[in-house]
Amino acid sequence: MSGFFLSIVNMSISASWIVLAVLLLRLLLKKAPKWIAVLLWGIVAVRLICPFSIESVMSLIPSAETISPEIMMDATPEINSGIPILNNTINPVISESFAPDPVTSANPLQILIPILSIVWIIGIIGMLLYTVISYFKVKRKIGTAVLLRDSIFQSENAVSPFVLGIVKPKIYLPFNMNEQDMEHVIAHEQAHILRKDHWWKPLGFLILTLHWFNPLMWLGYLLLCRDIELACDEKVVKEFDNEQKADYSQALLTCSVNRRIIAACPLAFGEVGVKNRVKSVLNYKKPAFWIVVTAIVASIAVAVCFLTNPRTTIDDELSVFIDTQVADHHSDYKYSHSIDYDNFIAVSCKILEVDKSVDKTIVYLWAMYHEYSCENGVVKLETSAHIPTVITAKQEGKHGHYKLVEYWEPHDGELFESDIKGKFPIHLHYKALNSQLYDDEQRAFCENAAKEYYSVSQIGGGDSSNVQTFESTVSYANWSDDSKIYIEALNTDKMSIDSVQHLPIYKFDTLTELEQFKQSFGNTYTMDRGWDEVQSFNNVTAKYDNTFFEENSLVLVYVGAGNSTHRFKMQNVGYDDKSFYVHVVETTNAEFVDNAMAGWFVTVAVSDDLLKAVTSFDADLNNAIDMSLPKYEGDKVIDVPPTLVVVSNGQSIEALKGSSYWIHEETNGMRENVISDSGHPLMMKKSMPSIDILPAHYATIGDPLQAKIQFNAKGVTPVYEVPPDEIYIRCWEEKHWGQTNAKSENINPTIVNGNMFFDLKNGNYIYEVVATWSTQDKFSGTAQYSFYTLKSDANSNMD
Amino acid sequence: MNTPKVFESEYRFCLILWEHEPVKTTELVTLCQEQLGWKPTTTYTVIKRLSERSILENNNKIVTSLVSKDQVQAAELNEMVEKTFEGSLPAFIAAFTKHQKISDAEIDAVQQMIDRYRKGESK
Repeated sequence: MSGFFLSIVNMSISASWIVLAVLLLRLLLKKAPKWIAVLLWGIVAVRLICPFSIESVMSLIPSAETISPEIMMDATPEINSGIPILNNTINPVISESFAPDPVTSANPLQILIPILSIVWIIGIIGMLLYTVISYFKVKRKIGTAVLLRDSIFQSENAVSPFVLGIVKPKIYLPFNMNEQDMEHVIAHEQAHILRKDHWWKPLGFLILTLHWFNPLMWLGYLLLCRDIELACDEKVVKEFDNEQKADYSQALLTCSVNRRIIAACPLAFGEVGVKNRVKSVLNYKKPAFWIVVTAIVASIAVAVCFLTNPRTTIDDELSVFIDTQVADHHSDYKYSHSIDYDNFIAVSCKILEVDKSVDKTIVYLWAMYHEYSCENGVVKLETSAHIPTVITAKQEGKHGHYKLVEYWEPHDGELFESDIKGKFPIHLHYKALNSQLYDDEQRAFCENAAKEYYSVSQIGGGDSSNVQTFESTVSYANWSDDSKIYIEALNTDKMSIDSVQHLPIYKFDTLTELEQFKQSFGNTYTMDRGWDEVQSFNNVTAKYDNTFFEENSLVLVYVGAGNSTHRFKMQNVGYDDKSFYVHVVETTNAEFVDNAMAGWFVTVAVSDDLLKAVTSFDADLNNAIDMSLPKYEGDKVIDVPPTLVVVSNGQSIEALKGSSYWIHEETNGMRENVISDSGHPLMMKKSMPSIDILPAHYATIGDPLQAKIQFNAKGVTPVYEVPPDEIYIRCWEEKHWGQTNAKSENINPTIVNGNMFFDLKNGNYIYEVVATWSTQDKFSGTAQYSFYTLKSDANSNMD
Repeated sequence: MNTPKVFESEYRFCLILWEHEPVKTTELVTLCQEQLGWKPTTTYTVIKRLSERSILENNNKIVTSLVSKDQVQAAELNEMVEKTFEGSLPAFIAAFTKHQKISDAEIDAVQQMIDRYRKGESK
């Protein structure tokens, strides 16, 4: 309730500015049609009830949130009126009188604001009660009103004419009015109904009810009532000649002589300021066109300037400071593996809010950090980060330099959300937790900066490390026992290194070279026959003619398969100035197995320009295990601990399952308890699988040091992914093999969209993962897994 | 018996009564609905109120008047206009509407304004 009250107070304060503007404008627009004044009050009303408003640089509202919701918790409560002089005068007083008592540690506002909220509510109830009671009182008094015609009634209780009713408005007149006066009065009241004033006025009163504590709003409501009457008169006399105007004025006067006081019931129409009205009726001239235009333009200006909140702006000094801080923070972050090219760093900071107080400046922002490299005119995104950040700085002197007090980032994983909720003010939570809100905008900014820097027109997105697209084809090649294709391949020396499955790679600079290859392997492989939907090699390569080879080369990779139902394609290409790498991936995971052995040629068309300095070629088969499994459903029994699959940079391994403790429900409802014991990970090198850490330019997708981990329930059909409830990861340097008492280092995993990731160390390390499942009905347990990494020396081989 | 006093709206009701009496209450309800735009409850309220003031009597749902049209016309119709809204409003609301009270001087001033306008127009 206090929060709601404070937001009403804030709306009231910002609406006060627009009331002042409207007051001023009313004076300036005296000659303008009166309906414009009514329209202006409409703008005030929108501001008073609309909590969300757009930010704009043209906003003249000094501050959208004068009183921050945290004022109750603050050690030095302060307001931000947006006007420095006001802040400087008021804040010391507020801070002093409402500073938390060191003994009770409660900020007095913590008590005062809830009390004020209650007073506010009581006020609203009071006003609503008054409205309802007076409405029914009037309703009862005019019960005996006598029908005159249509929806016009006469009553001796109507001291002056008025309109009552929201849905079916009726006009009430006193008796004993003379014929002429009566017609004018009816015309006036009907104009009210046509203008829907019987809606606007009660609506205005309702809004006043919410803002009853603000005297400016009372003034505003009073003037609104006047302006409505004047606008209504204007509508009636628009087509009148002078005599009719005089008669109309006479009617106005007669009506007000009779009565002593208006029906102040807010739902009815009383008449306002007879002298003023008569004056404006008698002086009424059709407003000149330019006056109307000016008035409308002025109203639009008021709407733009006052319906929008001030844009959170920061001065250049602070802006540069923030950008520098973000760049510094991220550039020495963890990507030490980056290739030593002349990298370009782009930083985009989306400022969510700047909280400036006397002694410090807190900036809430979404920081985006991009690091680009450029080779052969191809811009590559090397590393990127996008994270909600809070930077606290201190300014030395009024216009001095900023000094960093704190650079804050949320923890990864489960703590991410709670960290942000703890650090960001409540109204920024949504913005801080939704990375997608600003992602496009910031990414575009960074990419444009990089484009400008490298003067190129195209740039790759963050998901793919390669920007250029390569034309690739697959053709049928058949199978052979002959190892010739491996021996004559460009990468024959790399066939046995690492645990990566290398594929033989060839390069043809000319059509002749391609023909020679066909001749040389014509007896070993099939060049002129396809397989099912796959075309023959001859067919596929027919289009590569002399013209193609003038500026391009064709790279060929052979992939043999145990049976012909398997299909493959080029997944990606990695390259730098000296090396070129083709990743091949399996595209079919056929359950039906036929025994026909098969093999396929994968070709990639590459420009000579890109290959001009390349001396090293290699290709691999990315035999990543299919990770897209359904999530575990609660009714299945899993009787052995799940398998841990680790995927990094296109490779995937099943980690060694070590000790475990597993309880599951048997079909008869009994619980089965299985304990399995195993040695320390550092003693298990022989049976432990390894994963290669490839150089950055081999990266297939994104960060080569990122590892995804997934727990799969094998032996259940279908295979499920079973995320654990708890997970611990630690690692040792490889020098500790065999030293079970060596000190380990803990690693925190992060969870993104339900997928678990962690960062591999850039070197040879042994990893242990311990996962616990504790919240399922049908099983529970803990299992330990291990694997190790090998930093590939392929890079040195290739250089 | 004193000269009975009735309000204007009640007088309109009486006009119907005098024309149709003796008349059933249900019939009166229909007539008032048609001619005065009254709800049935309003008609019953007025019948009751006027019978209390001995202007009419309601015997077994047959209504007859106790006073004649001439008698009522003799009395001044508007004398009893209640100070309807005055005094029933909280003072703080009244404060905002005070300026609406129009003084004799002001009436004169406004009247002169209109008159001058008429003269100016005829010139």
